[in-house]
Amino acid sequence: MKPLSSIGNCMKRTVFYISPDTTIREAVTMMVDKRVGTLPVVDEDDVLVGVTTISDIIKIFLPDFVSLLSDIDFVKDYGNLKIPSPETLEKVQNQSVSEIMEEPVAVEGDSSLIRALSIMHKHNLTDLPVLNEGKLCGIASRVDIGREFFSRWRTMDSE
Amino acid sequence: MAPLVAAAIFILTLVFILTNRLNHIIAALFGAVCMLAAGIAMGFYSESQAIASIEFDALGLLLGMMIMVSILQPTGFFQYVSIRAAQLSHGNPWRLMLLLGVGTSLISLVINNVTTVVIVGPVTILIAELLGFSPIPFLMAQALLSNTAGVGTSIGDPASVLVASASGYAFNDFLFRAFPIVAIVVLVSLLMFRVLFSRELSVRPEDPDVVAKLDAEEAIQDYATMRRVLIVLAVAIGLFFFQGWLRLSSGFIALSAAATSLAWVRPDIREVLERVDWSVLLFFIGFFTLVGGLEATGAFEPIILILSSIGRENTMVLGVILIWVVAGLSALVDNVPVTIAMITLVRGLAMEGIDVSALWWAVVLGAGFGGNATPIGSTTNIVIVSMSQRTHTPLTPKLWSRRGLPVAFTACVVGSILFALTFKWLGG
Repeated sequence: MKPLSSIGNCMKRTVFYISPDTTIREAVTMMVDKRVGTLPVVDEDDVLVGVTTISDIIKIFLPDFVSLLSDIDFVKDYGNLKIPSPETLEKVQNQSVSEIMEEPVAVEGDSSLIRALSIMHKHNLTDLPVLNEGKLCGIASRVDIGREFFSRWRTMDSE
Repeated sequence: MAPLVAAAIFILTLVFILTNRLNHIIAALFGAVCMLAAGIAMGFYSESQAIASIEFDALGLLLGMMIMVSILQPTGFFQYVSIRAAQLSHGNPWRLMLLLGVGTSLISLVINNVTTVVIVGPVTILIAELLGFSPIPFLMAQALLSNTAGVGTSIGDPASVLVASASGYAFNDFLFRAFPIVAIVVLVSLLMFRVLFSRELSVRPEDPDVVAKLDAEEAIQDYATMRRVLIVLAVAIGLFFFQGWLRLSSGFIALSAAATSLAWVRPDIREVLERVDWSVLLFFIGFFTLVGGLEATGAFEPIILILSSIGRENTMVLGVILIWVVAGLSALVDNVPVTIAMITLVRGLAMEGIDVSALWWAVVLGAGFGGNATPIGSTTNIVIVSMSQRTHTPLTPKLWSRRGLPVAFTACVVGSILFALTFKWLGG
């Protein structure tokens, strides 16, 4: 049976990242152009200082009641709330990502897949930055790691 | 020596609570332990005296009602009522305020104010957002009106629960004496909101039909539980009406209702107990023990003597003074510690031979109206402010002082006038 590899073997090595003073608008542009949902935030010494996700940015544009009510299924018609209001767009676009970014959660490249998946599950992450001696060297999505994790299952069946 | 030590412990605890240097529950519990330790060491306060100083009837009533509401909360009943009320407004902001305000007041008569705004507040934000209104006028109105209306019954607000338990006044006494005054003050407050928020309340919604499209029925998550708890609640309110005749304590009625609901619904007990506001109950126990020690040393005597000399001259004037003192103190700290301290004073006045039967109502009215003056004056206000801080339009202390303070002040003026006019009836 194939031995389980570490996260370093299944991560993406090309990482799109931003600096803390990047504006939200610039971050969104990069997410759309590069088709990624998570952007690690890295300072001038390549140290990971935070993470910005597309869902963090979407949250800003959702109506306030969404986070306050436990159930919203009965709201079928959102009236004029369908598109982001020009006021919110205006207010948000020049804010820097450092105001909304989350605390970074990352693992070293030699971490096992089960540790990576456990951490992602616990912190509810879709992408996990990978570090090499404290510096950002890659990023792996739940799909990347899950595929590697379950590839063992398939080889077990064929054996 | 004992009165000085007891007063020092009491004042230190108050300072910690007032300056927010220590969480008020921790301060009350720690102060209570210090008071008891000093009392046992110096011989002025024993453990059995401390236990006797706690109003267990009030505790039982609050716990029972909190359990009932905790079972009812996730069923979606309150969401249903709020949505239906909003739909009757047809998107007219003033009518929406009137309906949500009166609805909140009615719910607050029966249910703890904090619980009321925790449940109704988010639905209010939903309705205001859908219609394109600022939620601030509606949220403020709900906080202020639930504080005001809560003291209209013996079960609606911890302050009135305490006074009912200490004075022996039953549900009906509140209904015929406090409630009419409270109802008038609620109406006056609503008219004031109309003036103070005239700009916000003259906005026309772009899509007035959006609220009509909300599916109120779907907001109900658990119809069977809702029906059962409402039946038990209705029976409990019926028992409150006849509690004098049946010789039943409020605590007994509320705890029986809670036990019946639990047995009938059989919910996940851990979830139900998690939603109970234990902090209020613990604070009660701590603060009662603290004040009990102070009372045991006779430290209240000088204040009681001054008040009783005023009371002998004119009890009505003393009542009006009490309304303003209680209201002023309730604006600075939560009305629960103020009410507990005042109960001790009013009892002292009764020992001095003053007829205190009307003075209890002064404490109730002051406690209900004073907390509205500042954003930290009541837990309800704190909850509403922190809720609004999670929205795009946070409520600021400046805004509160321009809109909330005038309403609180007018409520005290109207309350004082009505108290003076109905003084004989209140004491009868």
